[in-house]
Amino acid sequence: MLKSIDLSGVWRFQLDKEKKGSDNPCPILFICREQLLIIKKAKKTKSTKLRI
Amino acid sequence: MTEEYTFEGYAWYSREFEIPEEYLSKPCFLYLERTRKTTVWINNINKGSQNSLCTPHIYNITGSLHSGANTVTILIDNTDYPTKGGHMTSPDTQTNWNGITGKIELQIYNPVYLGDVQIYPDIHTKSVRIVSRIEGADGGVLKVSAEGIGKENKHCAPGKQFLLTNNNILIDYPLGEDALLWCEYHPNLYKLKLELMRDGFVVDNKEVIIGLREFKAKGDKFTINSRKIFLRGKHDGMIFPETGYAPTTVSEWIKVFKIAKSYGINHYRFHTCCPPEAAFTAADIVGIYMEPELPFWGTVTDEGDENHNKEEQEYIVNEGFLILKRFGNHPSFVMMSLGNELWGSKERLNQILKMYKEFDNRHLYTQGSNNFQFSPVILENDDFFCGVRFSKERLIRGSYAMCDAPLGHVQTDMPSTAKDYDDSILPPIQSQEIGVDSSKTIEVQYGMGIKKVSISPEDELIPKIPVVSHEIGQYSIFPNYAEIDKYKGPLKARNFEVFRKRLEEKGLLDLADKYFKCSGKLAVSCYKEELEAAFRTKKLAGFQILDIQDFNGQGTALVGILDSFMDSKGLITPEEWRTFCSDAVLLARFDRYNFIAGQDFSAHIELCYFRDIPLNTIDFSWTLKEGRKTLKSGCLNISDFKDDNYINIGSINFQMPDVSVMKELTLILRIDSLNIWKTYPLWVYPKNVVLETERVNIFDSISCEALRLLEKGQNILIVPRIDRLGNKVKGFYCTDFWCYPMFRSISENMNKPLPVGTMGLLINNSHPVFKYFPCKEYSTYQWWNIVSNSCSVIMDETADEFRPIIQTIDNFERNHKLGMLFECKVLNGKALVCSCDFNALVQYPEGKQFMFSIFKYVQSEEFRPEVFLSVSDLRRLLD
Repeated sequence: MLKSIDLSGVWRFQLDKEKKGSDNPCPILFICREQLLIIKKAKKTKSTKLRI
Repeated sequence: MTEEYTFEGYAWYSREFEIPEEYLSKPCFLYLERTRKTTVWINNINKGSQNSLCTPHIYNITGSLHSGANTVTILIDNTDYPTKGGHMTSPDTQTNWNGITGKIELQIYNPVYLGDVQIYPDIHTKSVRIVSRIEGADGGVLKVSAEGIGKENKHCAPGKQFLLTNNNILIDYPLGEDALLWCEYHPNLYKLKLELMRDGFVVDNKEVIIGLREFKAKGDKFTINSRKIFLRGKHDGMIFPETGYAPTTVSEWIKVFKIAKSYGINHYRFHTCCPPEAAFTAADIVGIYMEPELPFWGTVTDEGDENHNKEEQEYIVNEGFLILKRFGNHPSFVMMSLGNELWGSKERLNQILKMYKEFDNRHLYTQGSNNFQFSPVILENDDFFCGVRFSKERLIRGSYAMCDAPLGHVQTDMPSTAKDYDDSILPPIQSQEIGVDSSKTIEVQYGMGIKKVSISPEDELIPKIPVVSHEIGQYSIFPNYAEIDKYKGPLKARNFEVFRKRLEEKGLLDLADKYFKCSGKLAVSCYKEELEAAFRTKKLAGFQILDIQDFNGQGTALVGILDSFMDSKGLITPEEWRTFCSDAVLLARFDRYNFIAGQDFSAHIELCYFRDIPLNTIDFSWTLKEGRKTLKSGCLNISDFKDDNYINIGSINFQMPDVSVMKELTLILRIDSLNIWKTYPLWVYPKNVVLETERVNIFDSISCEALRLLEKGQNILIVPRIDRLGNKVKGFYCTDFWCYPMFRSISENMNKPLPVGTMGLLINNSHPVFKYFPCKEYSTYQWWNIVSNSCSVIMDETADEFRPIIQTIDNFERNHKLGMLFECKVLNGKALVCSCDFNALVQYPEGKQFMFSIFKYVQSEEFRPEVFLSVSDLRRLLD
């Protein structure tokens, strides 16, 4: 491999329980990194910007 | 475990990134180490979808990037998987999380680069076969070198160049005669460096961590590098309650494996799951034999079979190929299973095994773990067998759920150290006994539910391949509610909170810690008995214990000596556990634990030995102790072994001391040169114990005469007929299997007898009733015959402060207050109630001694019950 570029870090994130949206990406609301923990927090902290 | 906030649906993740201009035109891959179903967009252009649960998702995004900001968007769906996913997705274990764990990166290559690299070690030529492919061109030069890594391995293999004339690479690279092999004791690893050169320039390089090893099946055992080993395995469901997902760092897995290894474990079977790469790397380093399993717990079908789900079946098989390709280079990856408790097409299972074996011969394969349950088969392409029985009666583990009866020897047999499974694995007389009647439909446990299956008798199954006993143990321990505070992550111990509340409502919460510790001590002794039986079994290749660690799903199965965080519960030290779970286990075979003074004791001493250090001589010593005082001792010295692994050391014989009062003695076995030891408790009772029945007012019910005596202020002993008691739970020495709620429900659905569901005794052992029957606070083998001839009275309606002298610990679902021995003031007198069958007890020295102690107590001044019960209350208890 010539180079690897780490993409972990700050990501925008949104839950979408209903729409699978296979044609177009969904608009993104807020930011997170630790996906698992954040998803669980998300329901309580909706629309809050998080940076881990 | 309960997720504080669950999410099952579609989650979108997006970010911007830039890459240096010079990489824009290069081959580029988006690498997502471990995730769910993903769909990827780069700059709003769809790059496809992937759905592997076990292996990385790698998207080729070559040519999709531009200068300046690029956007990657990933949709992750944790619903509607092609298969249920076993413990890859189960809320019972690592939870059905959504997201990506581990590396998220772009991997950029030169236009010519090395594709997938597979390394096939050959210990006989001390070389490795390198199989790869050049992408983007034909031919080149491959420079190969290898250097040992780690403290032990300083060996370096000389570099070598190979001229490649096309894009397929298949070369053999010798590591040298002095190359070191990999095994659990010496996990010697090499960093294999590959440099692809074209026109004098290095165009790509790769480093692969490898180990030279050969893992084979030979007769009834596995071998590593031609040396026989015994698998001391642990089931693993990837339970990490702090995060709810399996870690992807090597250091975290090293920590886990080192804990397991300190308890004698050398093998991990992953139940319907495959761990992340970091786990294999850690196992390479620590020396653990790994067995991932396909994420499947169901029925394997072929085209034309009933309910054939082509998409699911193809997905499962492909997942196996991906696992082999992704993790196959790891020397620790030695075995693979096609799933857990599978049913369905034996032909298809055999075909899948064949395909995998042809694809990758570095591992051994099994059709699954405990497939076909009551009617197992061994397939042509099975390298080893993993199950719990060979027919209904040919059992190879110590405990079973009630719905899977017959139960195991740890649950039903009078304790001894004589049990092994050799005759079950290979019956001395091969009869036509088959555990089921001729072709019929039966109901079997299937996951957490039941399933109807058709079975037909076949010839008696005689294994000619290694046999691994599946999910042995499962001895349940009462919850330790102090653990609740440890759940600081996304998972909460809501189950514990519910159980604790139930106990509180029964007024027993103050006993929780004692319930935990006493049931834990009993569970430890059950594990000891079961593991020793496995080590005594010469035809067994290993076991997979369920588990040294708690399993918090499936109804909550607190079966571990470690909690679900892999922290010790304080029930036994690793050193003591290793006396019955290690590569060198001293074993004494004797037929019982309880003796009358002066009786002969005889034991055959064996050593189960699988260390990699050859033995020349054995200096064995034994002592019989009462406390610190040595009563008897001896030694045996042998130097001529017929078998390297199962060594008959000899016999020890002595006469039990002529005691005037009951004693607990300890038999200690030791081989100092191997730093191994073992202890067994033994009980010896005085001869000629005379029961003063005529001096005690004994009743089997609250008769008029009993009331008259109580009215007069006399003492009575009530020994109710246990067959007439209505308000009771049957006496059962062994602790509950797995967890009561799950198997109660399954038994009910199958219309089978319910499990007893108790978890041993909590004894107020400082009570004067035990003056002549000294005992621990928890169940020990002096109680086995007593408990087995008893029942416990359900005392839920009594006042909170009314505590039986001997309680039977109930499970966390019912939380009954159960009394086997209790006392109370009644009218003007006093009553002691013992719900044991005295006619049965009197036949055993320990039973008779227990009765003796009771009779003495009832006559003594120390008989002073504190709690008053009305006649009607007492009658209600004994109805």
